[in-house]
Amino acid sequence: MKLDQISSYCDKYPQEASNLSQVYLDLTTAKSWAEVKVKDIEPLQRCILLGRTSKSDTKMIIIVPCASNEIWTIEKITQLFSQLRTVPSLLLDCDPNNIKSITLAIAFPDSTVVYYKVHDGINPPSDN
Amino acid sequence: MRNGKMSSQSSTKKENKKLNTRKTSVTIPLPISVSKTSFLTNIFKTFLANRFPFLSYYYINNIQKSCVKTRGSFDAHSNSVIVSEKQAIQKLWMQGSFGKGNLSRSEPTFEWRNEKKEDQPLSPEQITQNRRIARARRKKNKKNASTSITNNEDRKEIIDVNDKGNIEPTSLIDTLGLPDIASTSVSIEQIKEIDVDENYNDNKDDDDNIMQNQAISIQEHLQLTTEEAFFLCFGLGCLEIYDANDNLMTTHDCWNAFRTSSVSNITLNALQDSPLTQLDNPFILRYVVYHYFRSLGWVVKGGMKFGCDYVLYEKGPEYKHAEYCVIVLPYYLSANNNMNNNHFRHNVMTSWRLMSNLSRVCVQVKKSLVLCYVIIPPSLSDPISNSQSHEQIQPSTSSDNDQHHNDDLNNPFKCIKHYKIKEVLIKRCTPERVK
Repeated sequence: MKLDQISSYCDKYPQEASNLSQVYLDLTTAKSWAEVKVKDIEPLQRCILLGRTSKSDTKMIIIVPCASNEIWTIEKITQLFSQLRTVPSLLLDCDPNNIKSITLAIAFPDSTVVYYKVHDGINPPSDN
Repeated sequence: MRNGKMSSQSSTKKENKKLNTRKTSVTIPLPISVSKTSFLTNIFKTFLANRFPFLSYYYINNIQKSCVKTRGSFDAHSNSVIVSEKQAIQKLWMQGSFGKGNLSRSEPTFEWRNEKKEDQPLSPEQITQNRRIARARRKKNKKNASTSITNNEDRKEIIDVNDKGNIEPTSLIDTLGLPDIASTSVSIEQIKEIDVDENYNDNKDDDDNIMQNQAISIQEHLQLTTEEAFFLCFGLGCLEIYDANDNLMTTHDCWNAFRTSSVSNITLNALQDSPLTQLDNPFILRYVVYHYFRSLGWVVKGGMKFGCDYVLYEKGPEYKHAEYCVIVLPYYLSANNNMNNNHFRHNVMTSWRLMSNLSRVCVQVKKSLVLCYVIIPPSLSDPISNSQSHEQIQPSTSSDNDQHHNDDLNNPFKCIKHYKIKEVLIKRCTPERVK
């Protein structure tokens, strides 16, 4: 079963277990992403997901699963970015100093997951 | 004649719809069954049941079938009730649009979307994916066409080339002569285009296998919010909720469990009292609004995608887009209530700026904003809130009052009666346009 891959992380962080499993299932089955990896980030006391939409994408997108009743302040987001930058690069499969943006995956009780992209600093709008 | 033509056209349209989309036909608005037989046959049935119990076995069986309760299990971590049995999922969705499939956008269609029918080469999900890839390609082509037209002098040749659709990079560079910056960028785009095509074919095969494998191993379940589950259990009596240890939860158990889990751990530490003693517990407030709109006939679904608490559908999500966005706001009758530790609303309605934020979002999604005030009684043992006439007020001791208050708070049947609702519809208007 797909959830076997994340069951150990669910046991480690029981509070984040439901968010992690909801987002993981959503990305792998409902959104059918080509590749989704789980990474344990101890300083943050949560797991993050690294994913790729399709095989032709070069960059891995960082997904942070969180609950709908979590309060995200500027301090918390800044802390998130700074902690991610201290993580060894082998773990993240990319240069940690180069992390420009992360995606918050907010999981709700009715299993809706809403994705919001958060950039560190001002970003010019893309042409999409 | 005309009517005949119209009806045949509409019937073919309906048939086409069935092939291309999968719309469930919701004919029963709520998952309760009402006896279809007349009054006399009912009397006859009860007479039989009393006099000839052996003969009435058949009738009793029928009655039991309609009273079959669906089974749901409460998951405190995700604050939801999960229904896994396939028939139960169908029943709950088709009769009232309850819940959401955890692998779908709303209707639990994961299996249907990913199964490949014999006469069609692709599953519906693959058809959708191909359509999206084709759309992205067309967008890219349009973009390349527009950049090359504006930047290059040989407009005629460019237009001819664009009409063909499929272009090879070498021929384009030849026609343009020495490559400018613009033309090189166009050619690079073209190469990328072809890469996308190659990958598209590979993806199709891989996705085929992935989808098949996933469809075999992943079972989609229906996820109900605690308000929906409580309405089905308490309001309609057609759902049985089991806890993590597989014990059946009574209505009172559910009432307590849902109230406790509605307060997140972060706020739990900040609270002075337990969530079970809160008059403005988030679950009570949300449930009262849910119950109110459901009993008026609206289909109430979660509104997080639109930035509000609930959205109201007239018949269900399959028919029309939702008409109203509902925000639940507490209104405290007594100023003495020490509700400062209440985290139900983090400053949502404290300023006009936030109000106008919300109003704008609702307009963008073509819905009207409804502020739903829940009038919270100062205490449940207050005789004025209990009775209409003042003659019924009797002097009672404070300990009696407290007992009454606590008893009522833990009893959903009595507690809910004390809350009142007031709706306010908000619409933004400009004075010049008002006619």
